[in-house]
Amino acid sequence: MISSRNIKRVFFHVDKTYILTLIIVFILNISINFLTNIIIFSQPITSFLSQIIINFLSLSYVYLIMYAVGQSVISVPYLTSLNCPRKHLGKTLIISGLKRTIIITFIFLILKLFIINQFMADSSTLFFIRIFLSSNLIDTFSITGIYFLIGYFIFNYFAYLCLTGLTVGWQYVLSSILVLLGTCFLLFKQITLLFVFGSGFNIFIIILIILNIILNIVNYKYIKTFEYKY
Amino acid sequence: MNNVMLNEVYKVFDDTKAIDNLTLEIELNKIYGLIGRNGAGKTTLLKLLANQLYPTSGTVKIDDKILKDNDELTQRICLAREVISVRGIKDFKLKQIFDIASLIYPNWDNEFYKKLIDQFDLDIKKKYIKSSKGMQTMVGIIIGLASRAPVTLFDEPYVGLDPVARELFYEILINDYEKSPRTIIISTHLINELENSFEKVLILHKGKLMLNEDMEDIKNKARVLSGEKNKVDSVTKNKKIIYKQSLGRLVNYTVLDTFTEQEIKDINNLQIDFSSLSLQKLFVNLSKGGETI
Repeated sequence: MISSRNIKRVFFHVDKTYILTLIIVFILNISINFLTNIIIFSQPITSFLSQIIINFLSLSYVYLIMYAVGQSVISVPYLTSLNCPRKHLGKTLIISGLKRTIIITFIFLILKLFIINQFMADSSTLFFIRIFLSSNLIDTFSITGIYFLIGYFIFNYFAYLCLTGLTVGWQYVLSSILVLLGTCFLLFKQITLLFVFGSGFNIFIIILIILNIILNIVNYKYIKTFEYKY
Repeated sequence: MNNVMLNEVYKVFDDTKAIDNLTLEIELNKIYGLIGRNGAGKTTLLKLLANQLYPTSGTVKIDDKILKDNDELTQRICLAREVISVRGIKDFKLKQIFDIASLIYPNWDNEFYKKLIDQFDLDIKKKYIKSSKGMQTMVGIIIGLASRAPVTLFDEPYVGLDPVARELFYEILINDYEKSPRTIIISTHLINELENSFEKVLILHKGKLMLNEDMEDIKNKARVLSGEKNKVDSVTKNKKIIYKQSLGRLVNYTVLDTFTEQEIKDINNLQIDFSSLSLQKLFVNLSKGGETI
């Protein structure tokens, strides 16, 4: 029986282009920021550090989107055409997404502990979530947890969109996006309060956990019953 | 491993019945030829056998176990297609495509793969999308052969290949089959080129199985009788006539049946032209006649 390691190696064939692209974008952004903030305008180091963190946060989520889309649209159909066991493929994709989110979250935790907490506590220049700037250890782990759950939700949701498109038709993808946007619109007040004051934090975490579990199950079912129609 | 069994299999796409009530037993370690007109359901049948599509109803079994949802059985099959349709993979270099295949097929033979690359003179540093149609077909052929899957299916493994490459493929296929027998099914339109390689022949027409015979039996049974209508009718009374053609008083009957020595003597005495038929001609007449045998 094929090992998960082999499937992961195939995933990496697809993944390496994305990693390379994002690393180049990251280095370019940071270099430009370094030149403008530090060399030209002689701004304090915290402003440059905040740029590193903003770049990392945005690019890490972009990476999770690219990983979910690339593996769902390329690896899943191609490996099915090579008779790769679907159940194994489904489990490996979900676990590899989880592992990547954990790794990214771990890097975020290090940045939070050693850069944000040390240099940017009480600074209002960087983030608008109050709890994010707190150097309290419990708040640090809470924000790390929510960062992980949002990251994993992004991965699962984009994988779900692509697998929906591939299996039942791309017109349903639009419906799925509209449902998400509609939900965000209806809950606009709650979401704003959450991001500004951190209220409803626990409910938000529970909702994300439930959504992630549901999307994991749906994505697994999609891959398990995937038909190669090309 | 036991035979592959299809039992009352239907495959429906929207309103189209691609496979229509197909019951079939595929014997192990034989080379099958799968023949049919465009849209007859050949690729769908191969995909059902490879577990890449699921039957709308009915079952596909290997080793008396249902293939659907069975990962272990699925891994014993390789369907080599003439083209890779997945976007993203097309931008890969050929080496990457072979590397991926080597990671997926459990019986992948790396030595054989390298030998095939040399024999087909394939530049594996080239991108798939920039390779010629023939080279893209070679990729499928090499994956199919080097996978060493107990059930190997080839879907039109000749598209874009020049005659030399095609001959090379047939030669390698037969030599390799003799060394390590396995079940091979080849869907093709180039019947004349491959008919000597087939041990059994399946003819599909509009999703239904029209013929499932040993190649030897076809050679012995497929006959054309030409002559005056009343004379030909008299000797083909109880025979399976699959195609009739008439021109005034003269007729041409394509028959797929056995004839005793006495019957052949009678045919000769009646001055009826009695000749054998190639597989290609049999297929054409069968498709035109449209009768199920």
